[in-house]
Amino acid sequence: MRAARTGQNVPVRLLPLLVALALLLAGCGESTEPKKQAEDLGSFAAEGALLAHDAAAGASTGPFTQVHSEVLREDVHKLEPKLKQRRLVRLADEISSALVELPDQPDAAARRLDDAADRADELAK
Amino acid sequence: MKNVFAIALGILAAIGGFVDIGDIVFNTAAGATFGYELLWAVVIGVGGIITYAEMCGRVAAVSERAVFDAVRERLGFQVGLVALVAAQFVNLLTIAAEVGGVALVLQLLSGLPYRALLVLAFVALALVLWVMPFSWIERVFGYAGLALLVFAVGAIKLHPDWAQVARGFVPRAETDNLAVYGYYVVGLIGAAMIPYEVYFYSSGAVEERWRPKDLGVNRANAIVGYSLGGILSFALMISAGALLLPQGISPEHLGSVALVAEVPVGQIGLILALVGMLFAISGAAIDSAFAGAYNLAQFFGWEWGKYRHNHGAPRFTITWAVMLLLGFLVVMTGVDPILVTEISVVFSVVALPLTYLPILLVANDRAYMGGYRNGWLVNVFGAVYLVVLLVVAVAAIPLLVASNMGQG
Repeated sequence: MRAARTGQNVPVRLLPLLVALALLLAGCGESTEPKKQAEDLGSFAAEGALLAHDAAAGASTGPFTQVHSEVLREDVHKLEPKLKQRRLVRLADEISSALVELPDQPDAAARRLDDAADRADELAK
Repeated sequence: MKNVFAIALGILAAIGGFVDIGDIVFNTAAGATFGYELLWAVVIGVGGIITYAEMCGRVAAVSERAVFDAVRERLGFQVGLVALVAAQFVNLLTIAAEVGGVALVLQLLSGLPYRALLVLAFVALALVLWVMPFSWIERVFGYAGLALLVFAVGAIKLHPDWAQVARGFVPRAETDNLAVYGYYVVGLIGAAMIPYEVYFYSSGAVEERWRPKDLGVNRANAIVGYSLGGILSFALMISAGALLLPQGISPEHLGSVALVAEVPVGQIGLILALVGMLFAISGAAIDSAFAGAYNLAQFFGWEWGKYRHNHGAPRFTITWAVMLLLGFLVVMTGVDPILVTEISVVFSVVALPLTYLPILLVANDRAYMGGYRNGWLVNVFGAVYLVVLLVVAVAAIPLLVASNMGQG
């Protein structure tokens, strides 16, 4: 009887453990390979470029442009300490700086981010 | 005429209320990763929720009893308790994800600090839960959620390759990374069939005092409402497949989802997308907080129901308040709501068989249902879906690990 009760309680007790494992895995999900890192940087640059083009065309709103460009910049910052190749570090700096510029000068930021996305594509090959 | 109008309103609410943060995250991410290849998984998920929502609505209308009444009775106290704990745990994660999602959308709309908006979201949701009558909650959030149809407009304006879209409705796995593909299949089915939806749906049927004469409304809401709601899921995936995949963008934020409407439709598209997400996610936060209170009250035989007013069912009221508070505290720790969303959907998949098996059993019970028990066609669908749910429940955690949470 006791064994049976213990057995039925196992799934319940395992839930927090499984969630902790999932969170741990999420933490381990950061990219470490240069190719994947270049792809991630390309993703941030391309998304920033979309946002910048829309902002330049007046198709976005001020708060959205400000908040989303900041969020993308935080993503770049999270990746930066893991970058081992100098070319990737330079690219990350360029994307980060363009994202800072985005809310005030979206035209210029769009050009820089388009260029950064192209360079990231080259590095990911 | 009045009845037709009521059915139409119910369908509209079901469409707008179909999508929550889990659907938004998984459909957009799946589209950005695999294009239109996983549209078939949405069809499976929508078919499943239609089958079981219709069933539990019918059970509620005929027997005047909701899902966790049946769980307790059919699974017994101990196994039922395991089901209850699993359901409440998943509900809590869902509430946390939705409350965090509401704050994120408010931030995208206003530019104000996230943590202040978390507090605002918590207070606003608590007020709505406390003050607003049940039928108002269902309608207001369902109708305003219809703003998400802007993604359907966006999908058309992005001019996807419709032949490729059509091919997406046929299951195939043309990928090197089957673990990631499987992870998204599980996530899409789990997001569409997330358990709180049927807890809320069946309890709502009791709240609105459905009787056998309302079975037409139940069928229309479940079949037409959820089918059309599935269009929102298709639209998100098709838009992401047409816009994000070719540019190598992997969407990791709600802002990325809003961008999918902004690019083809412009500023009005952005605003409609954000407003739609705000109401859809807020509605889901309210539904899941109520679902947590319904489950506990039904399991332990407490007085429950919004129709009794807050003082008329005090333990029910305290439960939803505590669930909402706990969800709020989880996201106040700083954990990313999108991460919580992914985890809540995957863990809800594990709990799916425990939710849906008792519904199937009760819907076949002559003593409960009399002449309204399942016909052979519904039983075939129910049984097939139960097998599907068992498979995805077993595969969910291994796929989460093997796919590195879909990161590859």
